[in-house]
Amino acid sequence: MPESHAAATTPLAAKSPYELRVNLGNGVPETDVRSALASGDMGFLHSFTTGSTVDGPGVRVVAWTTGCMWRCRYCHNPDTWTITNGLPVPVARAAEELAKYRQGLKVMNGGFTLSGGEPLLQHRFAAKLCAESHRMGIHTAI
Amino acid sequence: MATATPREDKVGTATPWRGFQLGLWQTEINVRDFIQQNYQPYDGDGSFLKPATARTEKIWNTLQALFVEERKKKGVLDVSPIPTSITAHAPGYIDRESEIIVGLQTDAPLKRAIMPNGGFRMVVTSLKAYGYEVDPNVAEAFTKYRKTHNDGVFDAYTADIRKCRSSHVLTGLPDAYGRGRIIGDYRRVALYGVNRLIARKQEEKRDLDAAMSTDEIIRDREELSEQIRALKELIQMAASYGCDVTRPAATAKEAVQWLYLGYLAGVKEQNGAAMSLGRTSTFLDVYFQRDMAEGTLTEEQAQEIIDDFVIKLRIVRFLRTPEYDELFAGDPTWVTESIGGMGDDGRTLVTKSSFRMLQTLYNLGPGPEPNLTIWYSPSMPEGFRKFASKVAIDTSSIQFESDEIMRRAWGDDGAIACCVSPMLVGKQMQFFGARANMAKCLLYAINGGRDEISGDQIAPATPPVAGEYLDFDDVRERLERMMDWLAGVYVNAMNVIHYMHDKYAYERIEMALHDYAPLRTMAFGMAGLSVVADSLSAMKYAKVKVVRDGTGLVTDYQTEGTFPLFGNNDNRVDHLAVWLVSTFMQKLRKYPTYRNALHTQSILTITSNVVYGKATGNTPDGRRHGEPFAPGANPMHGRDSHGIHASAASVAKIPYRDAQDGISLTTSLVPGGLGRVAGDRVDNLTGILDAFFGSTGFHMNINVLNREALIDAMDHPEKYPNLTIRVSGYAVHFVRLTREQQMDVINRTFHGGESHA
Repeated sequence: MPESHAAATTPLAAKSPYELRVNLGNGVPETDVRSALASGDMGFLHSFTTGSTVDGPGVRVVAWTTGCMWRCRYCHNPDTWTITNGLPVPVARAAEELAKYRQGLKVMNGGFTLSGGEPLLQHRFAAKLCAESHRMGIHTAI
Repeated sequence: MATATPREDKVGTATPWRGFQLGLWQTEINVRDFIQQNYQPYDGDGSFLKPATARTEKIWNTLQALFVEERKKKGVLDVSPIPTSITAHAPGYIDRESEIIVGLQTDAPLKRAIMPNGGFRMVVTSLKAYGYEVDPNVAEAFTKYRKTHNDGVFDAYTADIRKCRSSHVLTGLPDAYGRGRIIGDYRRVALYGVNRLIARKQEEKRDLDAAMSTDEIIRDREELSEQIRALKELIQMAASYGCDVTRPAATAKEAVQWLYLGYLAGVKEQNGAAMSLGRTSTFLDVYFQRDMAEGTLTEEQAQEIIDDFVIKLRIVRFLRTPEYDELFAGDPTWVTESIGGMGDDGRTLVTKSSFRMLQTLYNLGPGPEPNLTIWYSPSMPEGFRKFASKVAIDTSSIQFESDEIMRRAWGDDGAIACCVSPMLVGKQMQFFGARANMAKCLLYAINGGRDEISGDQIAPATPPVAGEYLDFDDVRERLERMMDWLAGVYVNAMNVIHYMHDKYAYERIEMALHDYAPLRTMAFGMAGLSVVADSLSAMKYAKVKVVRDGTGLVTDYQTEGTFPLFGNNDNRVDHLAVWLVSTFMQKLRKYPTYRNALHTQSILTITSNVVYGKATGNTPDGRRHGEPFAPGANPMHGRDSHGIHASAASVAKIPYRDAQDGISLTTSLVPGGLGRVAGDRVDNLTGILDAFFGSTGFHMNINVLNREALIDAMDHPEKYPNLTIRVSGYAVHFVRLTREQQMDVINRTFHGGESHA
């Protein structure tokens, strides 16, 4: 799966809460987007953070997907509406990053929250990532 | 107010050890054994605690008024012209009728003493800065008849050391101020009484009669003689306050009073940067428990004694120069009290007095002293862990350190000196060494030893980097050689400093409360860790183009591309930080130390991160000339963008075995970032602490406040006189910092503010 140039050079860490992340998934051909959605081996992610206490029980790692059809008037992250604003990330890579926090999350009675965007727009990816999380003994939430 | 009836006094003083379990502690000076045999672990919560009494509030209000006066007078209320010593000043009181624990450094509260043994030039500078006259007799004494530590050091400094000091690659060394970092075991005064301690010292000295008179032995004998003299002066000083410390303490109030008088003698004699208290609360709790069992003490009275003790600790004052105040902002004294922890046998060392100590932050309001430090282990009882989290959230005045790491390294009777530096009480002392400017060291490596601001040749000349772009492997090798040179100069400087401090400004009473021949560590340090880690990362993962001036000096950098930043739990850069720490430690260890001290280092800056930042040019990570470094081992401001778990995980990778003098991490959290409801916040913070200290985390300063509150406090300081925040390794009243230092704090990463995408 070819990665866009932006994907190769943009870190998954946002530099600030106000950084607008757009078009990071540009250059990924339409066919690849469709096959990603179909298989769920890859998902489009805006960014992630750790240490969240407002996205579920305990202290959690939170990842935000891109792609949302709801258009809530109060949305606080509209740059997540367009799916190609996000970075294409393989499930294995996301799980690798999450694994670093495994022990701490257990001690803090926390876990992993998949937010967005609308995560279920990429429901196969969401299911696979949550399955990986369960395999590592990490609690999940959406 | 009085806690002992006359009948109790008579019985008590005759049998001060009544009810105590026997142990090694009776036949030898062994406070740890006394604690282990007699203390009562407590695993409940803080519901037994009592608020401040009217008496306490009256005394504290009297002092609050004096604090306002003090701030109006540029921070110094009054100075005593009498050169200090344990017995130099007549007794002083705040409110003689009402005080429970007595004793002041001089004859009036907040009145500062001059301490010329450290350096007379500094005394003159300080006096002039605050508008006081220099007594010509004192001036004559310390310029004609008595040499000082500062004089001695500059007699023996090398040209290299002087160059490094003036170029700010090595500064803030204790050559012009008291080195501190010595904790007398003040508990011994309470447990044994001074007569017994004198007898032991005389024994130690007699044992040396058999040894051959080499340099070391002669110095040891002289030091022991001085220690014995100091103990006798302690008796005299205590008597002036109506206390007979020749005998052991017989009640809880006496235990606190005797211990405090021991500490007071220390701060009358010395003005070390850090004059820490030790690990006293669990020890004192034994006496509180006994009095309560005997029916002579209520909980309210117990809290009142602790409150009065802490009031005294909060008003310790030293006269400093303006230069010193830049490096150590906010008038800190580091009267660090170590609380809680676990014992070697698996029982917790948390007692009710651990709670009482923390309660003073409610009874007297938040405050930076006595630098309350929790020896944190996830194995401690939940009641205490949660109470400590609550106190951190409510007051932002306390810090947490890893009991697991420190206990395994040093044992279960350790205490923190200053901010993050542990040692076994009464058995170890530290030769304090401030910190080296590693960011500037990197720039010297790039510029062949020339300073990037002045252009002067500071390190031995080597060819500077060639070519347009920095090559990671090339720069790393140069940096390693530059670190080797810097380490050599550093050890040299420290050897001179501590030789002279022992000679001209020996800490007689503090060392009298140590075993003969304590373990000595030589405590080096580094500043700018995250600047160097990020700079090396830029060279390795991006492309860094150099910009040279007319003389070929590299003065600026242009980076193309992105690179991983320290503080995001990314090994690619985190391992560079680890490499830096371990490599510098390796270089330091090569050079022989004064008195064969064990080399250690801390990753701790105090406020020298601002001072060093001003003196360091543009760095390859993108930091601009003049911008502060991050404090301690913190990631650079704003660059840790992955949340607190990731940020702390990066810092936790720094190996304690190569930073045994401590690794400082200051964390700022927005209250909402810990949870929506107060109860959740306590639980979540406790979880974060359990995870960090259950892993390899070493230290965490915790601030829980909104950035808006700090901005408001900057503009309206009168609204926030007691607002306390934790900075690198200590806490300070925010409004006492300079504008620049305040801006540095406000610019730090506040976790929890970015929990939305």
